[in-house]
Formats: sequence, structure tokens, C-alpha cells
Amino acid sequence: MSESSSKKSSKHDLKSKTLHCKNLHEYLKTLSSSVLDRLYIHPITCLAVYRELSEIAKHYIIRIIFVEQPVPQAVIASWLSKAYAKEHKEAVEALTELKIWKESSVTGGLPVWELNPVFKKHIRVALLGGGKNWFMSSHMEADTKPRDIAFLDAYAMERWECVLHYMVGSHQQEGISADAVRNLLHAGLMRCDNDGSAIITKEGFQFLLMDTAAQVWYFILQYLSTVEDKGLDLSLCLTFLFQLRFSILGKDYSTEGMNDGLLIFLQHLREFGLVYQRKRKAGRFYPTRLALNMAAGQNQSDVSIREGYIIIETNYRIYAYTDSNLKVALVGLFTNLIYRFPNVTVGVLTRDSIRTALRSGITADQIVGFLRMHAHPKMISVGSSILPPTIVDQIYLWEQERNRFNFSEGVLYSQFMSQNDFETLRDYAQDLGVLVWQNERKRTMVVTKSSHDDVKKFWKRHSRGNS
Amino acid sequence: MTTFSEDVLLQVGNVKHKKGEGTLYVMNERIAFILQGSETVSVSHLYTDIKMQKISSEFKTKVQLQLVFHNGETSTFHFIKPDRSEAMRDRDKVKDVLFKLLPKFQKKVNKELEEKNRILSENPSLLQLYRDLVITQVITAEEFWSQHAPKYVPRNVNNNQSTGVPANFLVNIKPQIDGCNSVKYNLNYETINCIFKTYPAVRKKHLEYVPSKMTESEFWKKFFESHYFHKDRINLGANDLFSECAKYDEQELKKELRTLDNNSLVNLSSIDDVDIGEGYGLFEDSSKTTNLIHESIIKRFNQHSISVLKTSKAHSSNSEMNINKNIPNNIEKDTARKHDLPNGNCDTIINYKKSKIMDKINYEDLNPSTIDNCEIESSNLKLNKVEQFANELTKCTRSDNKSLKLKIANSMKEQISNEVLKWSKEHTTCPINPSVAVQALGELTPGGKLMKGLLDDSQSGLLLPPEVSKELQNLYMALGELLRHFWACFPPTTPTLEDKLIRTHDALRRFHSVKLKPFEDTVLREHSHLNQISSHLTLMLNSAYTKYSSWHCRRKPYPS
Amino acid sequence: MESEKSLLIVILDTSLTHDVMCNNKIRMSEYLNAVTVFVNCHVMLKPTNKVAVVVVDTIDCQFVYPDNNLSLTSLRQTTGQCEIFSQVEYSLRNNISNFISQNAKKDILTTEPLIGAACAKSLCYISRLERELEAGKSLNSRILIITGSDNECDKYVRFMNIVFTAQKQNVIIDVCSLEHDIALLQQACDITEGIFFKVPNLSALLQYLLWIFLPDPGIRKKLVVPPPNRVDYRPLCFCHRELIDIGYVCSVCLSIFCKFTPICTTCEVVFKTPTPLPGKAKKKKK
Repeated sequence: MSESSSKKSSKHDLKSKTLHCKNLHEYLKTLSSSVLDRLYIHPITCLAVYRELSEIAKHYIIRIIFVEQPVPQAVIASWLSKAYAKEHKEAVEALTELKIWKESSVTGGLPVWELNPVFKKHIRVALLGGGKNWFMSSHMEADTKPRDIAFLDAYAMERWECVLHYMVGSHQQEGISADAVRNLLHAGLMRCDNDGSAIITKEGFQFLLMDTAAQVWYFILQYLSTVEDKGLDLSLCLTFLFQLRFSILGKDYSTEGMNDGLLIFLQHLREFGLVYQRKRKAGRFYPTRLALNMAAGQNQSDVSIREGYIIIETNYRIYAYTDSNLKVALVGLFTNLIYRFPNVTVGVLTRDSIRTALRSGITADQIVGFLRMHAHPKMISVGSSILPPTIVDQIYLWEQERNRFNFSEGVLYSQFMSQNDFETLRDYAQDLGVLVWQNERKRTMVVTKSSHDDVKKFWKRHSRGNS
Repeated sequence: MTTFSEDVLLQVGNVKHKKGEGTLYVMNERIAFILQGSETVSVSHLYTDIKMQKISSEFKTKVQLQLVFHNGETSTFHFIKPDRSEAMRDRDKVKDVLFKLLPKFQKKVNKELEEKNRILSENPSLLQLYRDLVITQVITAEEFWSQHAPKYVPRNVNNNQSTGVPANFLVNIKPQIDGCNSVKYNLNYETINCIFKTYPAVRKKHLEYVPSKMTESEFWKKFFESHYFHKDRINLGANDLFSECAKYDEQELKKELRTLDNNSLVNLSSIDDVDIGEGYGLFEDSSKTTNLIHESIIKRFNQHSISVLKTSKAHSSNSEMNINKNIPNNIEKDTARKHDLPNGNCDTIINYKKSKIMDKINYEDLNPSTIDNCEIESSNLKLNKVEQFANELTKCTRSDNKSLKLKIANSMKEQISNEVLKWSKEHTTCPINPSVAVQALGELTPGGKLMKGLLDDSQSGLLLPPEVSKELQNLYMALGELLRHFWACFPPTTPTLEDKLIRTHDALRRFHSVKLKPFEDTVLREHSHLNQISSHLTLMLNSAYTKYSSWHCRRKPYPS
Repeated sequence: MESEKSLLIVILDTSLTHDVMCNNKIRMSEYLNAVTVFVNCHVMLKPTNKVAVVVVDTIDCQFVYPDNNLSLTSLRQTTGQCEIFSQVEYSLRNNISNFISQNAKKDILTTEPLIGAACAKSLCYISRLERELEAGKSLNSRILIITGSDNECDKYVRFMNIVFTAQKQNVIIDVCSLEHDIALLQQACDITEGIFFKVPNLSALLQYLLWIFLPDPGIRKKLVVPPPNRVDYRPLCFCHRELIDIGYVCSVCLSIFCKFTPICTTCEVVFKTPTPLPGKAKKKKK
């Protein structure tokens, strides 16, 4: 009796990964509690964290923020009518996870929630004042040449599109620094080709189709993960980012009081268009809308940064009212372009064009999301469903066409000595519910990878018992 | 030969049914088929089960008659007399007999069903009981109707009300056009009845002609062909069968017109085809030429309406006397009755009616004469005390109080203004005293001082969700009904009672498994804190079971 | 990208003629503080939350926030307070104190605050914002009136017209009364599905404001709030100013009287003497 010797991973996970963009809450959860504690020292982070909470949780905090004693858990639970108990549970979980409050008990064993004193103190500072001022708000003379909002928007867009442009494939490394390229490579959005030039990856394609705020946030997240290698203080950088988020558009801020690390960070942000600085040593900067909207999430962003330009008709025609090469290129990712005019490009969605996009790793969700996000105001004003439903359905159908295979990883068992052995092992696997595939005639079977150990052990025991 | 004690109305040989040859018997309540050489009835259909009959087309080689049943099944009989025309005659005989018989039974069935439906829809609680007990097959439908619902079923339904004639019955005879130039009318018993009721002249003709001079279908063919049926009866050929009828109708109409002449409610004499066009009915379009065809069709419509109304008159004539006494109150209730009233009486009634209608439709302020006289202008609301109009709905504060307040306010304003100025410069870090905040929190938390009117959430948790409460109510109702019958069987002194006891006990068992168990399971699954809710129901069932089993044990010994 | 903004307009009554102020039940500075913090809390909830504050007294009413004259750069952080909040706070403190000191120079002639006018202004502001909205966005607006008034407000008919306008525009009117049950404002809340709340303890004003008026209408369903009072819809008669259940209504100008008068005192129309016809005295709805 021989061992079922040959084991090999029979099937790979060929499915493309979709790019997952964490929101702030998820990001903060990954941070260690010491970092969190250090973050809560800054009123501005408290505020940022607060804004990310669910609505119920926000009201819980507001209601107990001016109360100096812990509040019994039952009391808080009674604030929400019973029908929404699930939301209550979620809110409580989120607040506990983020260490905004902690469970304790008063004398008598009554379980209570106690607000994190650091958090409480500092969010009250954010709301009411007091404490230290921000490190970017020291007093300074009025700017002799103040920049208005329109200028800042244009600047931010230009800088950001520069990055996207680079990704789309203009190989010249114009207007983008080596640092930024490194960041793109690190984020896995691009990879180095054999000859050293960077080319876009599947994730990169998906990245291109995200909305700008999400792009910025994803990019910043990737950047932050490398920030400590660069010798910068993560909590300081985060705090600075949050300050930018809560700053006022069109207002200038002073760089005075910022340490060297932050100044470097500021320069990086400048490159991506999150802040505007006339000169490196100007001593003042303007945050742009990119910084303000960062991580705000789709439905929270205050004002969308740009006008939609795409009109899509039920006959699968796409009209892109734009003169930007980048936008045309983006639309071209999944469209068969037909005509190009100075201010408008006409294309048509075909099965082939969509499949090309799908093959390069873009998902139907992303295409639809992209079209919806950049829909022309005329289309938005028409009705509730911005895109023609038939188009949306068709895109999803085209995607499903490709998913005719289900891939699952497994381990192959073969070359059983006897039919009996095979059947014993097969039945065992079947009982466990881990059998993926079997062929009686060839005496081969595949079990799921995770259960390989179990099956192997069983086989060992079985063969030992028989021999 | 036949096992039925019914009259055989018709007996037709040489009929094939499902490959077997035999004889078809048309009887009082059923149609039966007996195979050749056999003694027993192989097929028997009650007329009440039959929905309709169909016959094969004249051009088909097979001469067949098909019966369609209410449950959707069919049964076909093939007439196989060697001579085709003879077979056809046989078939038509059967068809004609059935044609006369079926409507009676159909009505009976429908009436019964309708009646039951009506009872159920009128008594929601009974309907619920029906759902709980019959649909779940705890008891059968017959049992339900005989035992549980008798008090709802009206005892004697003897006041047979005859149906009135729908005014649109002629329109409802929809012709079917089959390809080539022929038009087919489907007449049924009811429609024919309607025609007879409405047009007595036609009935007379029918009696005169049908059996002797022409067949039924020929008569109706003539009828429909005739201009009599067609809407504008202008050219009636003298040779037409129905020209007499038309003349008769004309006379009737004239008679009616005379009696109705001074009745303001109907205006039959003015035959005007007025459509509301320009002027929206305010100005009469005098330029319009009267059209003979239009006139005649309006006349025809009026006459038709009169005839239809008259059909309902016959029944009410016997109650005429007492109605005459209190006419002023009752008069508008029955417009059809007015023709029979003696003339003198009629006048006063009609005058009364006229005045009443005028009262209803004329408005003094809309009177054209008054409107014509004064120019139409929008009248503005003229107020002489605008202030009062705008303000007076608010409570007035005492004027002395008011002046006092003004005095205080005026004296305070410097001080407040300074305070606010100071406030605008300072900065608060503690806007509220924590202890006060806690107090407010206590007040606003459910159970606190300010939340008194609110239904306490912890209490509402003990309350039943509405759907469970509804379900429980239904369960109690159904079980109560069953148990009532169960306990009513004690002591079981007669065999019928014993039989009923056993059946009710089975029904209880079924109810337990079909209704109560699933309910308990759902409650346990979804509202675990309510798991005791059905204990009382179970208790009631269990005591019934105990009683039954003890009776069963004691009964066993002596019959066996 | 359907996004909803939520606009809160606070109408702040600073009249000195109310009992609360006359009798010093709450200090003006405490009162203003509470409202300022409340307004900031609304801004804190969501980045899309917008706020406007109208201050009103018996003489005038005025928008104090948003303030178009406020220059962005003139303001520099001196504390750890977030800039958006200090901006609101700065405007409120400055403009309210200006408003009060300006009106302190004038004589107070009436005890009725111009709440109706303030509401009208707010509704105009809301409708302007709604017109300026981008396609695909929507604005949820509500008005919160904070007042110590005991009076039934200035002009009944006009005020009711404003309330019905608000109802049509889907604007909720909430009222936080410092002292009295004000029937008129209760009606306003009832009509627009807002909340009327009388503060039981003025020293905890802020807590009550945060608790009851901070949640948006959407979330009010979920959070448990104090149950509403029964609203008294009885009108006052024009002749004796008393609450009546049943009265006489002039068929021309709809004035209400508790007794039959041959001539309407408001519009001077002469009524026909009561005829045998019944039903001339129409019932006024309760």
C-alpha cells in the first residue's frame, strides 16, 4: 500500500482582486492603541474620528459629552427604540473598537460606558476652544496675492491629473517626481517593466476609475504606510492631514511652527495637489479641495470637484464633452471611440470594448461607478437613475459572461492502490463536506486546501490500521 | 335496465364514448352512458357538474358532442349512426334537451356557491374560521357548512327575487365574425328571456311562429337580420316579419309619451341631438338641422329604456296601494312606478317633484338674471378693521402688564447690552454644569420625568406584536368552535353523537398538528420570550384529549 | 451621487420683554452660549450640515450667520478649537452683540417679537438655496425657533400663512420654548411635523437642545424623544378674546365671534336676521 503521494495544488485563484479602499474607520482600527491614544491628543483627530461614526453613535457621544460621570449601558440602550437594536449594537461596537468609550462598572455591578477621558477632553476642545492652537495657524500678514477658490481648484486638478496621466501611459516622467513614482510602485498601481520603465497594473486600471476623493485617500493611505520608513511621525502626519481636512478652502495657512518632517510631508502633498504653495519657502500654503474632500466618502463630499462630462444613451453611445486627453483616455479604457472633436468625443460601448476592460482587471462595478460619477449634469437632472438601466444591466451581463468558471484551491489525491482505499478516503472527505471533485475510475479526488491536513491525518491513521 | 329512478328524457343509441359503443341517456338530473352489452352505467355526469356543451363543426366528419365540466375536464360523445344526417339529428336532439336543462342546474350551482361566498364575505370571522378549519383540511367543507355555519345561513330563502333586465342586454349580444361574410350571434337562455320581457311583441311572434312555422334558430336569425334589431328603423319592408312589432312599439311609445307628458323628470317629446360644443351648452346651436336618423335613434333609445323599466313594473304593482298613501316621501324612490298612478294624483306629485328639483339645481346667487344685470367683477374683501382681522386671534396680554414689561425691558437694555458685549469677547469652555446635564439626561431617558406619556419600551417588549396577536386570536376562535362541538357531544348517548365525537376529536388532532404546532414553532423562533403564549390552548386541547380517551376506554368493552 | 444637505436655521429670540429675561431666570450670556454650542454641534455632526442663525427681537430681525462680510484671513486660530467652529462662533458673538447694542439705543414699544418676519426671511433663504442646488442634490431644511415669548406671536393670520408655506416647502418648524406653552407655535409644529418642547429647567438648556433638536427628522424616528403634547386648535373669538369650541364665523371675512352679532365688526357686513333656516350658525372646527 503506497502513500497517496502526489499532492499538488490543482487550481489557482485566478480571479482578479478588486481594489479595496478602506475608509477611515477601517484604517483607524488597524492602528495600534498607542497610536490611537496619541492621535486623540489632537482635537482635530477626535473630530475626524467623530465624523466617521454612525449617526446613532454621534448622538450618543453628543448626549454624554457634557456629562462627567459614566452612564449605565441600559440607559444608553433605552435611547434608541427597540426596532433599531441592530444599529445600537453596531454603534456600541464601533465606539468600543475605536476606544472612544470603554466598558466598566460602578459599585453595585451596574455595567456602564465610560467615555475615554482623552477623547472627551479633546473633542470638547475642538468644539468649544481652549488648549493649544494648531500648528499651521500662527498669525501672519495677509497674502499680497491671495488665491481664490477657482484658481485652487484648477491647480489641484492639474496636479492630480498629472499623476493620473503618468499612469495612463505617457512615459515621460514630466512633472512627477521620483518619490511619487516610488509611491505608485509601492501601492502596486504600477510595476517596473523589464526595461525599468513603469507600466500600469490591473489595480492601477481600477484605481483610475475611482472617484477623485477615493483616489486621493487610497494614495495617501499607501503613502502613510511608508511614512515611518521615511523617518516621519505617523501620528503627526495624520494629524496634519486631518487639520487640512478641516481647514477652510481659499484661506492661507502658515508653515511656521512645523518641524522638518512635516515640511517634507507638505512638499509631498504639494506635489499631488493637496496643497498649493507658490514657492517651497513661501511660508504659507493653501489647502485645496482635494485635501478637504479626502476620505470624505462619496456621499459626504461637500462639493464635487468637477463637472460631469459623460452622456450615455440607450443605444450604447457615449458622448464625452471634454478636451482633456486624460478623460478621453479613461473613457477609452472601456469604450470603442469613434469620433474625436475639439470639445467632444463620441464612442460606443460594445461587448468587445467592455471585455477588453474586464480583461485588464477592471470590474463592471467600477465601470458603472465611473460612468455614474462623471455623468453630465443634464443626465443627473433627468431622473433618479442616472444611467440608462439597460446599459447598466448589459455591462453586468457582459461581466458575468466571463465568470463561467468557479475557481477553488484544492489538493489532488491520486494513485490509490485499491478501489477500497479510494472509496474510504473519498467517503471520509465527502462526510466532512470538503470533497471538491472525484473520479472513481481514475481513482483521483480533490479536497479543499484547508482540509488537506485533516484528510491526510485520516489517511495516515487508516493506512496504519490496515497495514 | 337502469339503476336510476329518474325519468329518461331521451335515449340515443349508436354513441361512442372512449372507444366503447353504447347508448346515451339524457335524464332529469344527469346524463348517463351505458356500454353495449353492459348492465351498469359506465359514465354518469350530473348536470350540476357541467359547465357547458360544445358541438363539432358541421364540416367535420365526426359528429360529436363535448361536455365541459366545472373542474376543467371534458367528456366527448361521438354519434356514429351510419347516416351522417341522422347522426346529426341525434346529436342535435341531445343538444337541444341539454340546452334547456343545463341553465336550470347551472343557476342552482352558481346560486349555492354565490350564497356561500356571500355569507363568507359578509362575516369576516366566519371566513377566518373557514380558512383555519377547511382550507387546512381540519374538517371538510360540507361538515363546516352543515355544523359550524348554519346560524349564518338564512333559514328559508323563499322570496325568490326575479332578476331585472339589464339595460344594455342588446349590446351584450356580441356577434362573432368568422372570417367569411357571416356573423354569428350566441344567444343564451337569459338573453332570450330578456328580449321577451322587454319586447312582448317579439314574444308573441315567437309563440306564433316557432314550433310551427320555423325553427328556433331561424326565428332568431330573422330577428337579427330584421331592421327591427338594427338601430335605425327607417325602412321596414312590408314583408318583414317584425314590421308589425315595430308598429306596435311605435304605438306603445306614443302612449307612454302621453302619460309622461307633464312629467318634468323625463323629457321624451323633445328629440334634439344636442352635443355640447361651442358655448359649452350655454347657447343652443340653432343652426343645426334636425337629422331624421338621429331623431329616430334617440326615439329608439327612449323606447328601449321605457321597455326595460316596464319589465320591473309588474312585480311592484301589488305593493302599489300602500305606496300611494305616502307618496310625497317615497315618490322619488321608484321612477318606474309613476306610469300607473291615476292622473290627478300624478299632477300634484309631479309638481312637487318639479319644485324639489328646481330647488336643488337653482342657486339664487348663480341666477343668470342677477348675474346679467350686474357686471361681473371680482369682489374684494373690504375690511374696516384690518388690524382686528390680522391679529385678533391671539391672546391679548393685559395692557398694564405689558407696559410694566416694557418698562423693565427698557431699563434693562443697557445692562444686557453690556453683558452681551462682554460675552462676545470671552470664551466658554464649559457651557453647561455637568450635574445639571446629568439631571436632564435622566429626565429625557425613557422612564424619566419628561418621557411619561411614552409607552415604556420595556413594557412594549411584553406586548404582543400585532401579527402574533392576530394569529392567536384566530387560533382561539377556531379552537373554540371545534371544542364547542366536541363538548356538546357529551354524553354520547346516540350513535350519531358518538360518530360526531370521533370526527370532532380527529379534527382537534388535525388542528393541533396543522395549526397550533407551526404557530408554536414560529413563536419560539421569532419571539422567544413569548414561548408560554400557547400554553392555554394546549391545556384546553389536552383536557379534551383526556376526556376523549377516558370515554374511549370505557366504551370499548361492551360493543365488542 | 445623490447627496443630501441638511440645513438648520435657528431663530433666536433675544427680546428683553419676556418673563425669562425680565425676571432674570436665565442670564443672557448663558442663553447665547448654549445656542452657540448647539449650532456648532450641528455643524460637527456632518460636513454637509449647514446652519444659519437669525436673531430676532421686538424691534428687528437679522441674519447673523452666515456672514458675508466675514473675511477668512482676519481670523487666526488662537486655541485648539476647530476652525469651522470658531468661524461660526466668532460671527455669532460679534453680530449678536452688535445687534443687541444697536437695538438698545431704540425704545422698546411692543412686547411681541417679530418671529413671523424671521420665519419669512428664513423661508426665503431656504428657497434661494434650493434654487441654487446642483442637479441631483437635495436639501433638508428645518427651522428651530428658540423663544421665551408668552404671547401668541405677532400676527396670527400672517404667521399661519407662513406656517402653511413652510409645510408646502417641506420645512419642519421646531420650537424650543423657554417658558410658556404657546398655542400658536404648537400649531405651527404640529402642522409641519416638528417638535414643540418647553424647557423645564433653563440651566440645562443646552442639554435639552442637543437632545431634542439636534437629531435630524430622519433619525428622530429611531431615537426616543418626549411624546408630543396635544395641540389646542381652539381659536379665540374676536369679540372677547376667549377660547371657544363653537362660535359664529363671518361668511365674508371669516372672523370668529362667540355670540351672534348683526354686523360683523371686522368687515361691517350686515348679516340677515336669522331665518327659520337651520344651520346658519356654522360650526367652527375644533
